[in-house]
Amino acid sequence: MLRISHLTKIYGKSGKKAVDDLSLTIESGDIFGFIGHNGAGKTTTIKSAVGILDFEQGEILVDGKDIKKQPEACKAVMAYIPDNPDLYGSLTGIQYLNFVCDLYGVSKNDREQRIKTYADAFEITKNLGDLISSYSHGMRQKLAVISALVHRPKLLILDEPFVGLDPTASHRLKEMMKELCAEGGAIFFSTHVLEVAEKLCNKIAIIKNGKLISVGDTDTVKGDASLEDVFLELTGDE
Amino acid sequence: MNKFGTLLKYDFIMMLGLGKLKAELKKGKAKFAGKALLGAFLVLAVLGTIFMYIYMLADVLKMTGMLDLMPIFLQVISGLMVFLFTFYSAGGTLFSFKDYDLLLSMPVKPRAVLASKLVSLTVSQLLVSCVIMVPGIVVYAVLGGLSPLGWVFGIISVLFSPLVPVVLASIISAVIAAISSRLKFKNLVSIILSFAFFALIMIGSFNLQGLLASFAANAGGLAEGIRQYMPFFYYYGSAMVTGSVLELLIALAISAAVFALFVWVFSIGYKRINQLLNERSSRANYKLTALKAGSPMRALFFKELKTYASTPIYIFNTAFGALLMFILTIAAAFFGGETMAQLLELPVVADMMGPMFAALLSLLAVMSCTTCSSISLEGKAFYLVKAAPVPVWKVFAAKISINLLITAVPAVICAVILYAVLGLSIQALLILLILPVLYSFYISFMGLLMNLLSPKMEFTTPAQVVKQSAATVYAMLAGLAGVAVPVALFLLLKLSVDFLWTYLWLVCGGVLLVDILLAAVLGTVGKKLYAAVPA
Repeated sequence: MLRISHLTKIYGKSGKKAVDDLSLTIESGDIFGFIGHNGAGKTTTIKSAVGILDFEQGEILVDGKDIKKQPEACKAVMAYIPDNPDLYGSLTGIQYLNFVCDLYGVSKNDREQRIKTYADAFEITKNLGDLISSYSHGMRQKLAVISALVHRPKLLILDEPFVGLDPTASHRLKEMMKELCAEGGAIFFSTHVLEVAEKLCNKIAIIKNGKLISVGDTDTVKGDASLEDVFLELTGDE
Repeated sequence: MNKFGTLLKYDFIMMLGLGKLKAELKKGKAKFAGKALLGAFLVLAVLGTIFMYIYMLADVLKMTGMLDLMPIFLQVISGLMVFLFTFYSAGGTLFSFKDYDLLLSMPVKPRAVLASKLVSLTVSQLLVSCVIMVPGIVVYAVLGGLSPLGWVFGIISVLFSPLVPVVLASIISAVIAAISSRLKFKNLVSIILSFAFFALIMIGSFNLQGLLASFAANAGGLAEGIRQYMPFFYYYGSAMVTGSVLELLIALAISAAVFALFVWVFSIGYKRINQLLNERSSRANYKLTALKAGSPMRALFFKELKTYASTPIYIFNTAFGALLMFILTIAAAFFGGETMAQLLELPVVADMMGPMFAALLSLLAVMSCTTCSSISLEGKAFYLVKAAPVPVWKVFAAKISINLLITAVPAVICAVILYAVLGLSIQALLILLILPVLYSFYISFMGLLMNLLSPKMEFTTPAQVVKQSAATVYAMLAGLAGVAVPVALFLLLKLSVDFLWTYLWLVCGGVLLVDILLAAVLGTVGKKLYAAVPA
């Protein structure tokens, strides 16, 4: 579903490598956790995979297509939610969802049914008529999640998706993530909450200073210890 | 340093962007020097224009023996400009500012926070005050003479006279924000107010000589009215002329009293006021209904339109070209072409109406550029469009469409009206239709390219993008050059008026070629630049 091969991203004239020769593969059905300390290169990797950040070396294939050569085809099967998502404050919730549905070509019937399902699940149906600028952080996060799910992506890429969600919404999102993977999709998400990664993910990758230091099945990566202990040991004093 | 002083220090650091200056210098001294030179050139150009208008005013007053009233009138003009500029920025500076939560959670009195913000706001308006007062004082000194004490008092008035208009604008801005935060019409009020003010200035400037003559005839009465109803302006101005320390002290006392009263009153309910202003209208009663499906192009266009319509400073800074097109057309309908030419101080020659209005519509079109800010205004939400499965050309097309909506569409409407009311030839109609539309495409493409070359994705208010970004300046210069070059060539080559129509068709061909070239650049280099803009 997602294959990242030898990804290298260099920032600035100093030649600092934010991501250095990173390779990983995400198969259909995977919930793939991506963990690392602040500034390790998680967001750079994610943004490169989503096609919103150019990279110097490497190859990224989404559903077999190259993100650089067929960007629209790759993006059509993906959805991305950044950490602390900024949305269009001048639109209402429903206008924003309609906007996303139009961009992804979701049919009238499908969007009506899916928006109702997800909005009811996250309990923001009654707020969809209000301007996004009036939403709390949590409501924006919920709206961003709905906008990602409404076009039924095959690959869902999330950066800290649970920040700002109330416990009920977090639980619902986890259920939806499992459903998506059960239907053949895949999820690639970064998080600092290692307990969630440990419980939810079947695969884990740990990144440090732009390089992958551990990747594989969750049970293999953590062994008999907790993921937190493994993470602290591998990343040292960071 | 006490807490008020500490707050003020950091407000100035952020306002002057000293941190960013260091970063700019690191990028390259040559680039920084280039930007600084460009900024200096623009400031000089603005000062020169204002100098010219003030000289006209002084000339009229001198002829009627009332030159000594000039400093008073300058204070009023400066005060009005400060009022208008403060009206836009007060809300986000005094109330509802980004670090409000942080500051109020610290052991700092709300009074100190409000006072420091008010001083910062006043200082930020000093540029407006200087732009009017400095040329004004110089002109007055040259024409009427100014004592050393008058110079000192003049400088003091530049520094302190903005206080009262800043406070008044802040109060009105806060009241409007408080009322309209529940009624959702603040943007509309701001837009209508700004355009009404601007339209008055433009209509006034069409009849400047007449206005000045009328003004000179009533100057004495006006000055007395100012003394009665706006004493702070009167005494600042009068002190410069008379050298009266008492008059200056009265003016300073009024400014200080208004400032202190504002801080004292508003600091009492400061938290409540901020809470009121931050409350967003929210009905929370939506019920799902049938939805409409549309194309990605339509979705992008309406998103751009919504962004444009909900940003008053964006509209005001870009739509006045369209407004002027309509003012020009309506004026031509009422006064006729020859009178318009005389008012605009252009040569009145038979069969020149069409070319003249075509050039004017084209000039107004290139003064209206939305695309030069359209990428930057995506801000932190830019990832939404970048991550969507839409070709880059559609994103570009949606942004260009908005620019064409406010340039090409009004130009075509005005062209048809002008043809009808002035009885122009068919050739004139064609030129009126084609030339401004070609220039509309020119500025739309050019603006987008400039924004892709100089995006400003991080900003606190849209005004920083719309009014203060490099892309806006580059686009404005490119737009003016686009119209000025053919005009200059015609004059330099000393071409005959008989050749004018042929020349105009050649200009149309030239602009068309440039448009095609710009479109090709956007389709190739533009796409790469777009990919490189951070999201």
